Amino acid sequence: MFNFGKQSQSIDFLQPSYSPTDIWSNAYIWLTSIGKYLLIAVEILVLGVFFSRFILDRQNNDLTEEVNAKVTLLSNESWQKNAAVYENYQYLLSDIKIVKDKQAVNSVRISELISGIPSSLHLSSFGYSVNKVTLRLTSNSLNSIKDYESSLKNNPNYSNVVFSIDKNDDEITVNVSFVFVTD
Amino acid sequence: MEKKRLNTEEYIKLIKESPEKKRGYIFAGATVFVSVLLIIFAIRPTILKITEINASIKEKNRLSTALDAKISTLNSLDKQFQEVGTNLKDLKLIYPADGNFSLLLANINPILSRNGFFLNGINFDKYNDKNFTFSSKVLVPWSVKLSTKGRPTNVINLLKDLEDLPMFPVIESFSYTDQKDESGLTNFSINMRIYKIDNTNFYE
Repeated sequence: MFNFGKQSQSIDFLQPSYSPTDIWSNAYIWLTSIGKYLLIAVEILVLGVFFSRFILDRQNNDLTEEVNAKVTLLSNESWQKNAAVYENYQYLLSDIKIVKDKQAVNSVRISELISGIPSSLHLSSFGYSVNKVTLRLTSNSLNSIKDYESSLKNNPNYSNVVFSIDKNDDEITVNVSFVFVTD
Repeated sequence: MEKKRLNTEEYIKLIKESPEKKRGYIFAGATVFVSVLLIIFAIRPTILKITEINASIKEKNRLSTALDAKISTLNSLDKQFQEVGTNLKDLKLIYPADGNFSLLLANINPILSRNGFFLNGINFDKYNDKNFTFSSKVLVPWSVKLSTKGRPTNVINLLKDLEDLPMFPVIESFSYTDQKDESGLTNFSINMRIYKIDNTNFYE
């Protein structure tokens, strides 16, 4: 196939002593010289890529099996039930903390309010509903009522303080309403 | 036949444009072309696939770590629950999931008696006020109305004792007048906000 035997007899140094002329011989020579290294480089690259793919595929499969095993474990009925119960308890405990820390203790407010009424005023009715307070007071001293009115109006914890005074003979009846200022 | 003699310029031209050199260029080009085809159609898809597999591995690693964390948390919660489970089970009585406020009822009478009060009536109802502003995940506000009689001097202690109950009730409304009955006692109306859970299977 290849005419390697037919070497021309020449002393012309510009002409190579052996120079194949057909395409297959040229391809063979090129392949065994420069092309060899190019192909080896590409083959190394291809092999590297394929080996890394095999390794990664195996790693991926191992991880899939591991994740599936863990999911199966967590899908177990008793684990799921326990997880739901623990989650419920956690929600409940966080709610209890909110309720304990954030809600206002109204007994203290009511106590401060009732104990703040001067002894010269008689509390005949008391009403507290959602931060709103209504009082009915009786007294014989207008000055005591005025002092109490100014003390309530000057208190920054109360707003919309309204006093309505009725005088009947010697007894003065006062209806008071105001609102607790919330934070 | 007489051979034509070539001068130096023609020799250089002959060397530069020799058919061997041309063939060499063609083979080099063909090999580079084949290599490029191999890279485009064989290596590139594999590299893309490797990138996909890498992303998948990263995601699975993340998932695996999250599952590990969940398993270890559940294990640790299991141990904690075994230690404090009996105390936690008392929460069923404090915040009932079935609407059974037996602990509250059992506590109210002793508190009233301790402060010199008598229970006239008790009524549980839905909570209709909008004073409950904070958001809770499981606790639902409920309303309990107490009608009681006693002395006004003891009422503050009564209110404090009621708000000290373990279910953290809050006095929502409270009212009384100074009218006394034949035994010298005053009627009081107390409305409290308490809490329950709207899920009968909550503790199971």
